[in-house]
Amino acid sequence: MIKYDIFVESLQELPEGEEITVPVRDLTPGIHKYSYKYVRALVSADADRYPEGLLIRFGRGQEYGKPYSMKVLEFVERIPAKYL
Amino acid sequence: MKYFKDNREYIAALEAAGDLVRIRQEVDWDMEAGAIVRKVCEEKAPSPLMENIKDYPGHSYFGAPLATYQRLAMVLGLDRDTPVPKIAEEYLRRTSSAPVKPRVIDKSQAPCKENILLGEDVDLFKLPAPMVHDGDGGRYLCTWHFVVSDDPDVGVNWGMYRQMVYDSKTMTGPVFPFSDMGKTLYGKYIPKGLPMPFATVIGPDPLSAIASCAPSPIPETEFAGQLMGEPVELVKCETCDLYVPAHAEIIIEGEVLPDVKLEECPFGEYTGYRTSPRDLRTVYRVKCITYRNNPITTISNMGVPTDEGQLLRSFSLGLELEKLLRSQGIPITGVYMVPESTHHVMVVGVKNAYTGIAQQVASLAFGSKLGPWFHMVVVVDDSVNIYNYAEVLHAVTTRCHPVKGITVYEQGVGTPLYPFLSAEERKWSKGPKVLFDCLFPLDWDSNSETPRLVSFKTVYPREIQEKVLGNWEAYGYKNR
Ligand SMILES: Cc1cc2nc3c(=O)[nH]c(=O)nc-3n(C[C@H](O)[C@H](O)[C@H](O)COP(=O)(O)O)c2cc1C
Repeated sequence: MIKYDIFVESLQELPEGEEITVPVRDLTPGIHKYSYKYVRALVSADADRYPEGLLIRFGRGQEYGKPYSMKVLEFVERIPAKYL
Repeated sequence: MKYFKDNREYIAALEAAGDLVRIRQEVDWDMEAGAIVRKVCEEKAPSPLMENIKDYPGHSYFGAPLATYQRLAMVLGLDRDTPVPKIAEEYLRRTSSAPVKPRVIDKSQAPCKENILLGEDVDLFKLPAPMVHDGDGGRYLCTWHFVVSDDPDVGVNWGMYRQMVYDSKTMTGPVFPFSDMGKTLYGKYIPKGLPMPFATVIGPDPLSAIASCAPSPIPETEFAGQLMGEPVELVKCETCDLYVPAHAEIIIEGEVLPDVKLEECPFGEYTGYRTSPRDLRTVYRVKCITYRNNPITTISNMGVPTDEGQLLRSFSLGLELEKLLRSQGIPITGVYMVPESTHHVMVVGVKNAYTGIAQQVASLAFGSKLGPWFHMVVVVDDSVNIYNYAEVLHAVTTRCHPVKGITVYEQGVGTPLYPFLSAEERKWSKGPKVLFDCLFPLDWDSNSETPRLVSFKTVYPREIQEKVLGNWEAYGYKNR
């Protein structure tokens, strides 16, 4: 099942098997669907390489037909602690 | 003056007028509700009231609240079929009266305080933020709403600035530096590293909504009072010193963070495209949510014409520009901004009294606070009905000299939302503009050089016109 999606300007922002830190949206059905998470993760163009499915959308919202896969290494908080 | 104190009164009036459809079957917040509102706008169909939202029992959506001139006429206390120039007259009459200061009421009298969520209970996803269009960057909870802020020197501002739900306690949205809130935020809070208190008002009454997106120099709280003819009722926020309309449906209180930006966009915009780039934008951190029992979330679905953003912004931009031009003593006969142009074309009627009048109009219009929101000014003389697109188009195509009649202003203030701009121009909010001067030059000999308009009204003597009109049915035609 597809768990996350991500917006990119170009697929080059998703280098195969390299660690990246990016905002993704959680697509789990329910009231929190589309909530943003900032993740340190590994991604692959091979939909089966990592445990989570990752859909890709380009800058103006167009879907890229082929799903990627992703392994989340860490959820990162971007709001400074003083505001939490 | 007659006005609706809240959307509930307004919804009842729309229903009585046959301009509301109650949708009782379940509607999905994930695109279905947005698609309904979009189709309603494109077909000028009655406003939908969706009473059964998937995952959100007890909540409703009110879509396309002001997307037609009939609805605008209603909220100004006029007959639904009032012609646009008459609606404009009423708006000008009300907004030229003395500003009316707001009245503060006690919390116990304020419906927006019926439910209060604080601390751990605050979760924006408890509200039915719709996924308005497929491909939007997130769920836009705030599409027909406004943000309240307070400038330490200038005072309170209400502005309709879109907001997307980022996570349970965070929203993001674009705040342009030339907007009133932008000037406060970028000029006074960010340089000091201070969070700026805000309150978002969802489901405001129709006249307060109009006030928040009208580019008037009068403070919006008093402008709303002018439109209503009595003070707008406000109540104090729970977590800050801001005041919000007591009869609104949902209030979100919090702080705009001075030192963090997060992603926002893409979003289907008022131009009818998804244009502005996904970018790091203003962050609203939420501390408190208050709401009425069975709250009704307003949805405006921006896209191809006509939605309320296009209709109302065209209406108020045009009329505020009319006030500005008249305040300068320029002999104009009227201003009309065409909603289908997505408020990009301002048509100005003038008395062709002196050479250069079109340039004077365009320079003032483009140079005003309103300038970033449109890029075409068409100036016609008083023989043209500015509300009649066919007459305006005829004037442009026959009276505007392709070289001397068109003036391009290469440098101006724009927004990242213009679809025709390059990525670089959008990034810097550059706004090239153009004037179409449709006035015949005054240095032409009016007897031998200036063309004469050939229409029924202009080329026949009065007695012939009267004779033909008097005999029209006798000839076998129907009077229309
Ligand atoms: C539906 C809708 C959404 C809008 N969203 C934004 C926005 O995100 N940012 C912005 O600066 N203006 C936005 N505007 C335009 C402002 O509401 C408008 O300029 C208003 O007059 C506030 O202006 P002020 O900041 O000059 O007071 C929007 C207008 C509408 C009708």
